[in-house]
Amino acid sequence: MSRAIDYIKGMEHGLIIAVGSGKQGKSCSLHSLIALCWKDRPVYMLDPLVYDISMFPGYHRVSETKRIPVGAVVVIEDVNRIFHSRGSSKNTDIQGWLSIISHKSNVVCVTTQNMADTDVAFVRSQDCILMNKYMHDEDLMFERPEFKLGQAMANLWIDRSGKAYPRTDRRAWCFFPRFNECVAIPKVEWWTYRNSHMLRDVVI
Amino acid sequence: MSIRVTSDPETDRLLSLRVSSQVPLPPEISLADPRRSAHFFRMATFFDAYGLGEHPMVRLLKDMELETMMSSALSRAQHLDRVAHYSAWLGNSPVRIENLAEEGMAQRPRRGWFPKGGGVADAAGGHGTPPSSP
Repeated sequence: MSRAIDYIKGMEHGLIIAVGSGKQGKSCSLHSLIALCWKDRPVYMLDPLVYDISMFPGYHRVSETKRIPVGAVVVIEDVNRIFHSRGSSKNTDIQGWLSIISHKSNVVCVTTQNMADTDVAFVRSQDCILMNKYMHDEDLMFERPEFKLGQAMANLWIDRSGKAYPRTDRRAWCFFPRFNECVAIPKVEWWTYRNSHMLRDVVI
Repeated sequence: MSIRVTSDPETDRLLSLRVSSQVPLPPEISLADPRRSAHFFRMATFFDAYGLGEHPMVRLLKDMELETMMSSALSRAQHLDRVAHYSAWLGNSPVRIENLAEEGMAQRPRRGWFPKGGGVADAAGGHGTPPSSP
């Protein structure tokens, strides 16, 4: 088993940030990682938008952080929709919430297409693990400098891993810069096209 | 003036990636603070003047001084970006590939794997296999 997966399995609280360009398997890998690592923990989708949560078996949906119970795994899809990229300078909700997830034993899992679009409050206060998916070169040019090298390495190793294991879907590969590991996460069995387009019918 | 650099397979790999433009390293790579460099070269000149430049104890002293210079330059790096680049250059831990998606593959970790022919680095004109240390 991989060191990254072992470490994530043992996390009581913290953050996992899946970052990569659109349709590179961020959400699928993140939900698959949750299924792989925390089979018994309740999972909550934090989203003010209303959609059919039944497409995620066993999941719950909440629109406010105060409704998240102790010990839950919280998923925020496309985090900058909900917490704007420089939002913590105007609104202290994120900082207030993230600073106590260690007390409440919550793991927060977010997806984002670029760290430049993500509020840095997410990486400042808790044990934060980046999970890089492939990012297109044009997107990489606008990445925050602190994360650029990790992402460039991720692109390289995802390419190489894909060539090493041609039978494995390229979108399954995730690079964990902290652990220097490129891991193919097995897709959770209930994942369908509908899950990867969960907001298709939502008006925003 | 001569410049000494320490190298290893991982550094060589990153350098070859740089050559093939796979990794965007910054143009400014400096290994020590210029003020400390001046002190180092004064010390080296002093020992050389007495014919002791190659004495084992003096070489040990020079190596220690060089390591101190490099580590203090790292600790004063103003940008995290530079620290990341330095650590990538100086680090020696290979990337592990773990395939948990295919059954039976999870027990076969491949360390520091490079494609044989037609790989990413090959396609870009780089090295398909890691070059050896000089």
